Amino acid sequence: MRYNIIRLITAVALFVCVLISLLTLQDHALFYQEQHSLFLFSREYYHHIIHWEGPLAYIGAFMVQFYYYPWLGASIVAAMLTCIYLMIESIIFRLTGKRDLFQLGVIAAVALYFTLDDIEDSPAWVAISFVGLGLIWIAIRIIFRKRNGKILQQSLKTWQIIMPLALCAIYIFVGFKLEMKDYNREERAMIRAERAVKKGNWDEAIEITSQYLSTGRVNRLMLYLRNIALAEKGELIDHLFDFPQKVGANSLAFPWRRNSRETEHGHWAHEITGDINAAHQWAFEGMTVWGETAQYLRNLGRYNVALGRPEVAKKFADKLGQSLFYKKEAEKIRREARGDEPNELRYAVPDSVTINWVNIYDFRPNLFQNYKADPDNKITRQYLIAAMLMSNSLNELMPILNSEDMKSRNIREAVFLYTLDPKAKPLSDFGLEWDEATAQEFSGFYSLLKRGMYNELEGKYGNTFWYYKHILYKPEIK
Amino acid sequence: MRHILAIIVTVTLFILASCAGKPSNAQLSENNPSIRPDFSGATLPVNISAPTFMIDEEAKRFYTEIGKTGSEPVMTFNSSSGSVTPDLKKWHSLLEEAKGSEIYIRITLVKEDGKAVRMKDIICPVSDQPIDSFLVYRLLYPGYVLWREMGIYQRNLTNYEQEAVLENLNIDQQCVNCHSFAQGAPETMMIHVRGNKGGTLIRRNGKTEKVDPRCPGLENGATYPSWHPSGKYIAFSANNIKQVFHSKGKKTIEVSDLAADMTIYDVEKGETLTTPSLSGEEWMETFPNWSPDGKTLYFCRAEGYNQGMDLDSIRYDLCKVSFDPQSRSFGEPEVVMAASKDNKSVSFPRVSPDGRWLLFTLSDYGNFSIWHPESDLWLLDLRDGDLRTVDEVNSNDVDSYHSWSSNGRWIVFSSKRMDGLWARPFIASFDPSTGVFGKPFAVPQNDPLYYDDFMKTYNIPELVSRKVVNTGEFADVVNNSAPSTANQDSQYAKPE
Repeated sequence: MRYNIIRLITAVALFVCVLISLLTLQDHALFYQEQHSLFLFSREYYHHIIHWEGPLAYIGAFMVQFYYYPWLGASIVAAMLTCIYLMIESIIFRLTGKRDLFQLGVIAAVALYFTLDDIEDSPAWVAISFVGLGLIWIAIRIIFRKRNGKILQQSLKTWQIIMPLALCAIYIFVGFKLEMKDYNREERAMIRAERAVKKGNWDEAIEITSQYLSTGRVNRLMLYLRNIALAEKGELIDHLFDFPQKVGANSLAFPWRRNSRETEHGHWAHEITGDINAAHQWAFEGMTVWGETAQYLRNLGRYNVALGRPEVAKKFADKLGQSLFYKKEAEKIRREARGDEPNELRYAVPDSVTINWVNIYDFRPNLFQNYKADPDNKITRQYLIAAMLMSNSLNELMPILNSEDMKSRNIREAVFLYTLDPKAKPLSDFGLEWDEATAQEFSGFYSLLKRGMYNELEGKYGNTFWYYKHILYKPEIK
Repeated sequence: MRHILAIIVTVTLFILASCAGKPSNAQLSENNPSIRPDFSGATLPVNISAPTFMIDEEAKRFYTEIGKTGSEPVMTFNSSSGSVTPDLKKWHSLLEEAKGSEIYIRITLVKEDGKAVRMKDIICPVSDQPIDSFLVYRLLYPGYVLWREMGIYQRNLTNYEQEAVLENLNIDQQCVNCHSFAQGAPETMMIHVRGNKGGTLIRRNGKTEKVDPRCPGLENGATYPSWHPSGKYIAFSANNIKQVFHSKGKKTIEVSDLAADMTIYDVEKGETLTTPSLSGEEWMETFPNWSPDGKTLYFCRAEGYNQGMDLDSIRYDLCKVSFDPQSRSFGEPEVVMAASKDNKSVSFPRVSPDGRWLLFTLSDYGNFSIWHPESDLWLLDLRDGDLRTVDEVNSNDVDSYHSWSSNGRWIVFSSKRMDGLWARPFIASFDPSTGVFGKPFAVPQNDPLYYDDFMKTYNIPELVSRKVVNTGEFADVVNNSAPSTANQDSQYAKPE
């Protein structure tokens, strides 16, 4: 076997391993970075990012834009790392006239791969190393041009074949082990759930969040994303208490707490419930904190179309259009702004617009207003019912319900509890009927509760409204 | 060889086409050309930088001539994009020659069919009165509560250079705001910095220090400033501010006072003064502004906020109070204009340098007029009390914060007329003898599409007569010194 073959095997192995790793173990990181960066082909962008973040950020953003297509971005990074290996191998040969049997180039490539370890880390260093090494490689090839490649064509002894291939395998294996050592599965699950929601893959979002929540962990974002996906599927009320809603109604919409991380996600619940002003506010806060990235430019463009501000929408679209991969989306927003294409958002506009302030701590008043303005928005209705359930506002819940809602176990449980209130109106006033089976079920629940058998209670009734109301509900969370 | 020849011929033809001269036999049109940003008919200061612009007309080619009225053009532009970027040196020579007279901008369109149409000339009077050379403003996203990048910048209005006065990049991303100058002099100025290293930076007599001018006995810190013309005092309102959001409608955000009092910071003694008639819960006093003689303090005043009060019921009147700089004593506050009686609210009173005119913003309620599309500029003649809306300047959208030039011949003000979201600085001429403004125009930029692309808003545009120098000192003081607090022996000023 000649050394050229070993070099080829190593290069292919390195490329494939990096590619697979990026597309599987690090797929969430590619998505996260792409969503938090947007390279624009404009002078203003260049000056801005160089001034505020420095050249490394500029190079990083340039590279990250290719993550729009994960296979493309991953292939570019894998190719760069492979070339780095090949160039180091070539430089060693040119400088020493000997083969790189210790595969030092692989060590360098694996080490550079670790600069991508954190989800915040862009491939800037990979690109810089690639370009820098490329220049060195060219210079050395010119300076040492007399060194010919015949040595690479000579046959190798057995140990000369085994050693470099074995070392290559060891380096890659060690690299993999080191990566898995601090691998953050929780982070990955959250980003994958977010990606599923952004892409409208509701089943996938429900599956990811269910897997996560079934481990017993409490995570507001996961509950929030799950509720969005359930509402989009029309299943929010049925599955609202499948997992302990320990953060109450805050899993439906984030209260405004000046939390920069929450600005990334806060707009969704408001958007789908027709509260476009509030969605706009959240998205704008997000852009202020996270910069002019595609998700904010796109959302702000869409929201401003819905809010009747086409000039503002066009400006966001024009900015988005300066990127490489979002031109079509930018053009769509422009068409919507011109009125050539309908805006798909549902903006719940009341008949008369009076001054009405957003309650940043309590979702319900605006939700109710949106429901009144657009009663056909099924998502708003689900959110309103869910918010009433989770804030234990049964008196406010009852007038919203209809007989169809009684198919849901959670609703039947809530209605039953309402009837226990001495001041309760007859169910017939709401067009609802008494459900004997629920009443009997409650006696079982109440018996366990009275005896303080909380483990049994959780095991048998942990996914019920009753359990939520009696065990988990905190009045201070509206 | 044939290929090379073909390339040479093509390139030559392209160059010749792009260098085509003035279109001949142009048909005269009675229509005004549409340009963006629009400065047609605006009176220009003799020292202003060249307004670059786009010609918003349908044409294959645009031929533009610029010159002094009655003279040959001194600049010509031939483009297919409609972009016009005058040479700065030639522009200044032109304005110098045309001062007291007019310049014209003559646009000829070459249509797709090859026919040429010469539009009506754009005429701009050139004033012999210069505008203050520097404009200081804060740039930030027109956001709501959070921020990341923020800075106070100075723009040389005679060219396009912009420099940072203080960026939060250098001070741990803290909030910088409320820059204020004593009669437009950068040697006597202040900036607030909010955050863990925050304080009020005061530059005076060549020295910059960080202070906390909070008035002892008052809950709220120094907020909106106005330098006394002597440079010895700064009037501060001490506000408790709340931000709320509109759930529906065109307005998005409301910034409202829950409490506000008026104080005076004695810069020399490090003391903060107030008086019972300017503090307390009965009234909320804000947005101070001194008359040029320093004997009267104008401000806005509303009824004190009570729990449960509708924020859209808070309305501010224009008030004034006399002040004796020697004894540091106040008179009794008087209402100058009871806007609240007409269900209107006053913000940002600013007295002209000659003391005769008072320009303010009027909106339906509250005092943060930058978020009120209905807000307009109004002018009060302090000599005879005549009051009028400044129709020649106002637009259908926000027209708000304003600043006089030191010669009283120009104002700069914030307007959201371009798109409704981003505030842009506009300049308008002013005739102090008649109280009439000229047509406003956006501060010129070196890129005609600058305002279309720029995503930050201009906040508090203040005209300054000279450049703010030694700007690095601000960040050094923020980072390296603790604020000295106002003298705890401060006392109420005695009423006259």
